[in-house]
Amino acid sequence: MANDLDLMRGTLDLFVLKTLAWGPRHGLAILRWIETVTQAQLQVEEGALYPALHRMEQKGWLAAEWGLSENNRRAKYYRLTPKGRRQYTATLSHWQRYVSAASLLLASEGDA
Amino acid sequence: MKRLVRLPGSPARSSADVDAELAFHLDGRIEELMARGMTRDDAEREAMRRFGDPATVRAEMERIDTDTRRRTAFRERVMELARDARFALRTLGRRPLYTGAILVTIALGVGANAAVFSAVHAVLRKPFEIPGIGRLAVVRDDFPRMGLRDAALSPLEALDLFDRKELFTTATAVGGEGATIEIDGVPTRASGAPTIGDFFGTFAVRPALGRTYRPEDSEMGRPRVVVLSHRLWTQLSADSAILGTTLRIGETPYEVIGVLPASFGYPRSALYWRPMTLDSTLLNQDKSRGTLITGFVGRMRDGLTVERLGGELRAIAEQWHRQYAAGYANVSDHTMMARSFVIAQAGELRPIVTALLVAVTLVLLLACANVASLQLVRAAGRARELAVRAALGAGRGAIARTLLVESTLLTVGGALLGLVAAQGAVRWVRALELSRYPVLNSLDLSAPVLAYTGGIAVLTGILVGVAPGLRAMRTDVSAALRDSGRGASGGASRHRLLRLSVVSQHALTLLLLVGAGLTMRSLDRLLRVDPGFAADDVVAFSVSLPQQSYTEGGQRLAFWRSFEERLRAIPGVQSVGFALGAPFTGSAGSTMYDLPGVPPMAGEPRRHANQAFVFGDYFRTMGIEIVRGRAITMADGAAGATVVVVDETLVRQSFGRADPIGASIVHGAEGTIVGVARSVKLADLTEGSHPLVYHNYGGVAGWVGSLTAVVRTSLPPAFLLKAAQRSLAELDPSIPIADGASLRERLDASLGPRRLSTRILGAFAGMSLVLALLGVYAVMSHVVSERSREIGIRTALGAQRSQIMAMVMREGMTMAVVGLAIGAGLFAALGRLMRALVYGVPVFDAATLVGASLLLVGAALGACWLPSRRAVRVDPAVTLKAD
Repeated sequence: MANDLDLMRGTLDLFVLKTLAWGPRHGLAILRWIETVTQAQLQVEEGALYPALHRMEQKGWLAAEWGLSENNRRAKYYRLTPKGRRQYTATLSHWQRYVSAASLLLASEGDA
Repeated sequence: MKRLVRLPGSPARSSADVDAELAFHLDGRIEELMARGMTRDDAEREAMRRFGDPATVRAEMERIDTDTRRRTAFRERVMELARDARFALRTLGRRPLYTGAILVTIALGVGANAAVFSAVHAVLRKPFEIPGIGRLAVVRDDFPRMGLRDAALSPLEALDLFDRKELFTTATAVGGEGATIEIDGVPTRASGAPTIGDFFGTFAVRPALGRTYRPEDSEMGRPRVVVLSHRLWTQLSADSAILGTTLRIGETPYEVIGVLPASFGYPRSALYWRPMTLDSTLLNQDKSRGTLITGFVGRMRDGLTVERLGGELRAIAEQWHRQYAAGYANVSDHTMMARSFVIAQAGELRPIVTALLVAVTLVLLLACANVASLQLVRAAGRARELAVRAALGAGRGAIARTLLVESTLLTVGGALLGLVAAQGAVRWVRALELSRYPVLNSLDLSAPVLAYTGGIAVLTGILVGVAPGLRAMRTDVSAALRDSGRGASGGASRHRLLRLSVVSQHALTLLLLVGAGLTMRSLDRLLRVDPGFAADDVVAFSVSLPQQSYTEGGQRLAFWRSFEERLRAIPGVQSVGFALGAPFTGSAGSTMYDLPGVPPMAGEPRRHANQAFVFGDYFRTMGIEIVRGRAITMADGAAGATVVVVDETLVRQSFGRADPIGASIVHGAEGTIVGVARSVKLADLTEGSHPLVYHNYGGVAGWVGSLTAVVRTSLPPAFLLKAAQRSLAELDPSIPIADGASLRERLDASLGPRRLSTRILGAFAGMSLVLALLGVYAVMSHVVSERSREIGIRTALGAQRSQIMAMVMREGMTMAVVGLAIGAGLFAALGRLMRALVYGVPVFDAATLVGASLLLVGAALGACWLPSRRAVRVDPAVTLKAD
């Protein structure tokens, strides 16, 4: 099981951007969504998520506002700004290029 | 509109937000885990395990939020400023006349300051890029009772001071010499500096090329070495291969061992430096302690001040008089004094520069007062606009900021224009080519000047921006709106400020007018000073005979005789004479004199006289009148060794009404007085009279190898000089002609700095006059338009036109007169700064003061008259209906 994958900060940013691309969510919802989609194979250190969210807010990628949660409690909702959406697209294509290059390398024979 | 970016508002609010966000997370997790069947305790533990350390996370989030808050606030402020700037630009653009007037005023103030400061910088600092220049002190000999002030030291005195390690860490003494050097095959006169002591160490200068020499190189028998200035090096070769080559200075060969950097220039005119050879004559304690040929410069030990050094020096002089009684036998009043090197170098330019600095500061203050009054008048006009903004919710801070941004834009714009103007002024000064002050030819707007200008501009901005800003803060909204829109609230306090500004403008203008008036009158007096000789149509140039090819006195005399004949043969030449020590051509020194058989008169000063050695038809050529007896002429020749002419000053001092002709005089050598000449000015038109003794060169030609030729001719100087050079080449092609210029040019050059300061002060005074008049005009126009209702009522009630005019004029003229009185008071306090610039008139010259006051009052009358005319034309039917 690869459930102890260490998440580098840049990757976490990308996941958050991807998650928020579907619509505004609060922090807990973001974590739950990542758990669900990865079938709990990716263990995010939850405490690291919030500073990351605030940092992305500072960069202007995310905007936050207080709203009511499913069970009627005050929660801080984050959504992508247009700038965040552009950032998402750019990071995603960068990531995809990296992953395909890495797979090529790892799949190669020793003396190719 | 949602302003999400601003969510993290205050620090407290943000901290609460972070808490709420984290609590929401943990609570959500715990509920979720409990829903899966965990006990509350287990769920809490599991949630905390997944989360990590909440304290760390919290701290980091708060750090990020604080940072975000700071950035956001900064960005908003910048945007706000940009908004204000755009708004201000639009506002200013709508009033081109007002904006233009303020821009030009600030440009004048700042530009004048930049230009003057660049001169100050050039004069006081730039020529010497010397580390620790403030620690350098100059030591001078002083003989107050002989009238010989500020004299050089003898090498023996300098050598003694070198040993005073408790005073100077390093020290040097520098002489001056002129020598012929061949540059590109052309023999050229060059000035050089023979030095003793540690010259290069004292000035902390390292060679750009090669090496320098040491104090020991002044001892007899050392190899002759020379260090070149950068300028001479570029003229000779500009090649490092010059090191080790031989350079002939005069006829003596020297080995070139180094080149100094171009930035070093002391003494200013020196093209080379060499060790002065201390031979047995110079080292003779009995005979040479009075050989005052070296300027002493020492680096003071830390903690020593120039004042304390002066005290030490006086004590040292006393000690020398006891120790070397024979050496000081002829002088009873010798002492020494110290001065800072920087001050000593600025020399006669210093008082001028100081006066200009004061004047230009006054101009700046005046410009600020002017701009402030324009802004106050303007603020009255827009009080309603500001009141409306305030009523609509703009805070006082915001309104003040609008005004501040406006005045900042004006100041920066004005300052930039001012720099352009300063650049122009600096070009103009350079174009004057004051050859006597090469330092002024190197004026430019360097980094320190720009920094200074920036500082001045900021100061101006504050001065002109703060007053209106503060006033705006106090604007009473309801009163301003209630008012008819033309008078604002606080009219009384604004009027006080306006009056204050106009009064101070008059006071400052009076100061500048008086200053300019005094320099103009001084220059006028100077131009009328009789120098004692007829300067027109006389060309002077100097010729030096090489010592080694003209060893015998007879040889030299023969040379001068044949040169005189050739010069006289040039068509257009009327007469020819020669002298060492002719006026405005350099000094031939001075000596004590004695009159055997003539007892000193009561109150007679020490018998000390300047000297000159003359040859040929000198007195007639110079137009120096012989008032008694006869002149020294060619006929006196070598035999007339004892023939002496003295001047009227000497006769007045030592003979009174007695007849000096036939009296014997001991002045260096013994002679007989055969004639009395009119006194002449030797180096400066402002100098006082000092006795002068003329020796017959023909009789003492043994030691003088260098003479100035004076030629009375109607030929243009350049033409005469060429012809003279040709005649000289026929005699000896190896000798150059140096320092060729007419006497008129020399006289004019000596007045250069005065002319310059007169013109600059005149320009400043003119500028201030115009500014002050604009100020009065603007303020009085404003007053008239504000009071048009009152004037309308008065007219309706039957007031005469003349009464209305008198009312307006009275108000304007009261301000002018109060300003005059204050200005006169200020001048009483500041006047002494002018002392060095004033000649022939008292500093507190009634005529100048009255003239300047009349000019100012007359101009102010004109400036009040126009608004008062407008007041008279006020139509009561219109103004009264306006409300």
